[in-house]
Amino acid sequence: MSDQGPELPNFQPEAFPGAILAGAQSRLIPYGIPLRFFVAASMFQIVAWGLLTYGHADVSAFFGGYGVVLAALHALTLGVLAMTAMGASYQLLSVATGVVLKSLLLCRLSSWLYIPGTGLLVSAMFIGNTPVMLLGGVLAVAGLALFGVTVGTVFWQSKSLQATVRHGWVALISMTLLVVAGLSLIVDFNTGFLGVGLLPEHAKLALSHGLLGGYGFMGILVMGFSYVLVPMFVLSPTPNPKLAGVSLGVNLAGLILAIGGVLSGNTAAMIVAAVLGLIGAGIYLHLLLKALRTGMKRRLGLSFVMVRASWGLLIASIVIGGLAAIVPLDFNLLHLFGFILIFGWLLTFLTGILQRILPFLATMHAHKIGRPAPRMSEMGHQNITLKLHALCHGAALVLVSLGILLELDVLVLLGGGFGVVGAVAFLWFALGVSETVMTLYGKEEQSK
Amino acid sequence: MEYSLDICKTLHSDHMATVRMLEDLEEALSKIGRNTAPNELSPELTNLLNGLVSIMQTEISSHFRFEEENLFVRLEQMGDMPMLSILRSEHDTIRPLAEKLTEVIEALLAGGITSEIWASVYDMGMELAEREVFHIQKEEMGFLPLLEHVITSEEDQALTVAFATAK
Repeated sequence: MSDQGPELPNFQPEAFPGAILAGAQSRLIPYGIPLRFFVAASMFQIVAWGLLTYGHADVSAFFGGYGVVLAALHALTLGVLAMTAMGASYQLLSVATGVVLKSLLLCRLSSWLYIPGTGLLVSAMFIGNTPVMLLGGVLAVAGLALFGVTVGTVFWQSKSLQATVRHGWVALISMTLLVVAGLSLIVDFNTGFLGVGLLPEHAKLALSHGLLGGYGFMGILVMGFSYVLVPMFVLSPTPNPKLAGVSLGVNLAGLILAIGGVLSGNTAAMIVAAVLGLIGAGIYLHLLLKALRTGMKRRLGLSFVMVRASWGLLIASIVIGGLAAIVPLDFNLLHLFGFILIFGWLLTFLTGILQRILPFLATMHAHKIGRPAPRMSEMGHQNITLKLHALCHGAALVLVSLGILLELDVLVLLGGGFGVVGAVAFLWFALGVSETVMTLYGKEEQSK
Repeated sequence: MEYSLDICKTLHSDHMATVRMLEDLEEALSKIGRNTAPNELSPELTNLLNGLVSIMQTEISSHFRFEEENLFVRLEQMGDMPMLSILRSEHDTIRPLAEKLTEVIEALLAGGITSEIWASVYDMGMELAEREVFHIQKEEMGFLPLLEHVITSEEDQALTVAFATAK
């Protein structure tokens, strides 16, 4: 072979999808930043299931307004889903796109605002204190705004992973609309300004807020990240970016139509939206199932049992949502729709992926400080914690769904209890992995 | 994964064979369990272990060395590559593990099925499967695409011949 290779003036080692592995070590941000979001998310998961258990008798009767059910919903959406998305985005987007984060202070500042803000908001929703709710909401929104600026800058500068970046933009726009709607809903609790003139009614705006959060912000973000993470874990080629773009377009059309239908009370629009959602989700799943089929790895472990289950729940959520548009009061379909969307699809997917990301990051940090990487399977007592989490999570989803459908509060209570146990197991896992990394850094400090 | 360079295709082919073999090993070991040493080795398990010894010899004695002496060096000419220090560090972890595993498998195949030897095969086999597959994951997603960007067609031919000779 020749001694000296060609000059490569435009060489960019990050300009291919696998750079998430190739460049990870050099673009790792301090472990404490993603860790605080992941640990907070694991704690809020316990809070969310705990509140659902506590308010089991109110779940089927919930039609808006503050109280335990609203608090449980936001502990899950803001406390777990968005929290995980923030921690993952700060670390993974940087290494995946090759764009270095300009300021870690913004990431830290967003955590200082967002984590206590979410805690305050959830607490105030539980006790029904609107001014505190507004304070918590403003803090959480400020944290989200900093998150939006940070990841928006990465999207703007990124020249690779266009499918993920396009999804990211749609997610950020949805997030902006979502927080405007959310703050408006809080203010309306005291002022009652909604429903006057051209302004939408509280209940319709609340449902739109839910759609924007579930499918718009979190759903689209999750889909965008899937196109990077799933191929990486299964060792497959990157999914076709054009088809990913088609899926995004159809999903976006479905979302706009669904929100338009909800705000105008047009059932036909909501049904068409559900059909579009099924097509968009179908293309998304076609791409990822192809990745699973063509991937080099066949044994994907428990995390992909969760991921596959979440994909089924994605389809189920859209079908139930479409049915709820036609007969919202039969079998509590609207409630079931919200539960399957948030606790089903999104929570199952994120916990499935997070159980791969946490040990993966730990090994990268070990390499960064020149220590032998610990075995991923030995971190966080996985044989107990993740199996217990998966079993309890599955049982919780089944029992609460049945409880909602059959209006049997005792099943919601039982399911919520399983959810709490599973969430405690997941926190045990997250803390166990964190302890591994902290020990590595402790040894590094001692050796200096 | 689709590669245009012959050297990447060859390395990929090695990776495929290794991943398949190690996944089969994980499955077989999981089915039997650590604490239940078999009374005798089934023909399937014997074949699998023989294949594994062969794969480990080609993976370790030729594949790793070829990468380190030819490809890592080539990339390092372009500047500091943090990824390469990870890959080297993993080679250094996997190499002695594979050597030890080869020794205990050979003892097992020679008829020495004791609960102690079986537990060693189980522990080291599971560890090797996890570490090597994760290593291959990095090479497939990071290292080989990087080579595709860097290696010229002239270099590709020379490297492919050199790798065939090294094996």
